[in-house]
Amino acid sequence: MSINRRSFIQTAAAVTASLATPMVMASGKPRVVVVGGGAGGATVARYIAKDSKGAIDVTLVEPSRTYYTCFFSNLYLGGFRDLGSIAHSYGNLASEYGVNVVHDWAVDIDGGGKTVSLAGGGTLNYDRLVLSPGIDFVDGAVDGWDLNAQNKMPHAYKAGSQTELLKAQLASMPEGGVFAMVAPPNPYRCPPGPYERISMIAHMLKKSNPTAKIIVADPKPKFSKMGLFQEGWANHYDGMIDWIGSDFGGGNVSVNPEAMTVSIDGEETKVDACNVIPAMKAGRICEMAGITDGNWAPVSAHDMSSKVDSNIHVLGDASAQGDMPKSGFSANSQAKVAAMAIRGALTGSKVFPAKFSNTCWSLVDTNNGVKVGATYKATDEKIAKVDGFISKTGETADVRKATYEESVGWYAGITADMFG
Amino acid sequence: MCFRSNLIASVFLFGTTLNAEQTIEKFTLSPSILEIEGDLAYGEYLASDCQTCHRADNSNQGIPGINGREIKEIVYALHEYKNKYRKNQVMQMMAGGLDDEEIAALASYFASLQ
Ligand SMILES: Cc1cc2nc3c(=O)[nH]c(=O)nc-3n(C[C@H](O)[C@H](O)[C@H](O)COP(=O)(O)OP(=O)(O)OC[C@H]3O[C@@H](n4cnc5c(N)ncnc54)[C@H](O)[C@@H]3O)c2cc1C
Repeated sequence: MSINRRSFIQTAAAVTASLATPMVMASGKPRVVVVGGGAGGATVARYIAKDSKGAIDVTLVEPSRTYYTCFFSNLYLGGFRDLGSIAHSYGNLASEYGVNVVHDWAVDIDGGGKTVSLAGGGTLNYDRLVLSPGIDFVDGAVDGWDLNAQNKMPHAYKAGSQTELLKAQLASMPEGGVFAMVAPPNPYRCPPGPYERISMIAHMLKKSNPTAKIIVADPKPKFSKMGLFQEGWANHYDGMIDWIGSDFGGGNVSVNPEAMTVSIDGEETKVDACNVIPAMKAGRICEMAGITDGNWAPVSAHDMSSKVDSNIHVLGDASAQGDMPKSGFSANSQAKVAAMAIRGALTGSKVFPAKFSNTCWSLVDTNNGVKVGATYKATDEKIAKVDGFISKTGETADVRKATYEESVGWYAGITADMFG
Repeated sequence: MCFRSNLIASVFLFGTTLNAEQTIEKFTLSPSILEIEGDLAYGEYLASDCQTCHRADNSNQGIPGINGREIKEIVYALHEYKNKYRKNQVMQMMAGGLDDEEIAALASYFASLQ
């Protein structure tokens, strides 16, 4: 961490004074730097650029030229999508909205000097900074696994080459082989994600390798949409999936990526493919900015500003905000609240009370979609749930098909909303 | 709110894309609700949440485009979802969180779009 606490405190008074009125920069337009071009970052960059109509200078820092959405990456594993269909570029953000897209890593933040240092050596100044770096993994979370093992036992929890690798390993499993997943503890990115993934892998194996087995070692006693997934697994993949929850030792796991073994509650199993999804924390840049408390970065629900430094807003998975699940939909919803608040602070535009929503669709089998959703409001304490729903077990095939079709519409909608 | 007065059979444009969760039923709104003038700026902000799914370019892909529909149609549709006269869990939830002014604001904004 490189924040110089003393200089931070010295400048704090000046910062507070300048915030009392909308900031008009003597040297030009107010500047917003966004770190991370995913669900939160791409959306906030687009909305600030679009709605400020050129009054705010927006720079987006993102190392990758192509963003592969984690959402629908399980459908790629299941054979419902190709990789190209979940790949998105930043071209429109630059050409249509005037966002200055910088393909680089942010490696340090100086909250006092309000600068972002880039791996390539440059420095960016900001009036407001938005961090939406997604997740990193907690070191040592799964005994025997670290990032060096990610090619033998992929996490595939950041989409792209990891997802491709997992798919290739699944495809080359021997007939009747064993696939294991080590599921993550709460809180983590996309609560139904591991279980949608199990469904999609079962769908794929049922066609190509029907005697294969799937083992899930889970450190939790229950999981998101559990009744719906278990109903689907019994109806579509009967006898294929062995889910071992924490009540049955599922949390007592170690792996050996060299030997390709997984030990669950003392019992060792040889596996042919293995997906390790370790415990998660906020993307590392949040630690560098000195705004984390434990694994995540606490924020105000009213504008997603950091509770440590109000000139830094944190969106999406990295934030500790209250009741919203860590999802792309949530990150996108939070981005709009932050965009409005930031424009208000920098240009004096009107600010309305924050409202948030989320829906997570999951695919269980062909044309068999389920969903869970909720609306939220900002309280002084947190983002608080207002109302919600979940699909029911035993729904008709027509309802499930409509839910799947709705999810396809959502995917097209949210990616257009992120990248323009 | 009064739903019984003045039986008007509304046009259910949202229901024109086939969705197994949606049904069409009779539903009426009082003139006082229909007369609320929507705040365009507030509608624009609220609409950003809708545009995660209802695409800004108005294309239909599993979820209908709703730009340029008449104010009354949108007001009706949202009140119908809110009161569970139309079946779609996401829309019932989203509309359920909106008050009469917010519905009017959203309707004015979406009606103003191409
Ligand atoms: C298998 C799976 C399925 C999922 N399915 C769904 C779903 O159906 N619906 C849903 O809503 N959500 C889903 N999610 C969750 C969703 O992908 C995340 O919640 C969402 O992407 C979070 O957005 P974010 O902006 O916080 O992070 P991300 O979208 O991960 O974006 C972070 C970006 O920051 C960049 N970055 C990180 N550090 C730096 C740095 N130092 N400098 C510059 N750039 C940096 C990264 O390269 C990345 O592009 C799923 C996730 C997984 C893993």
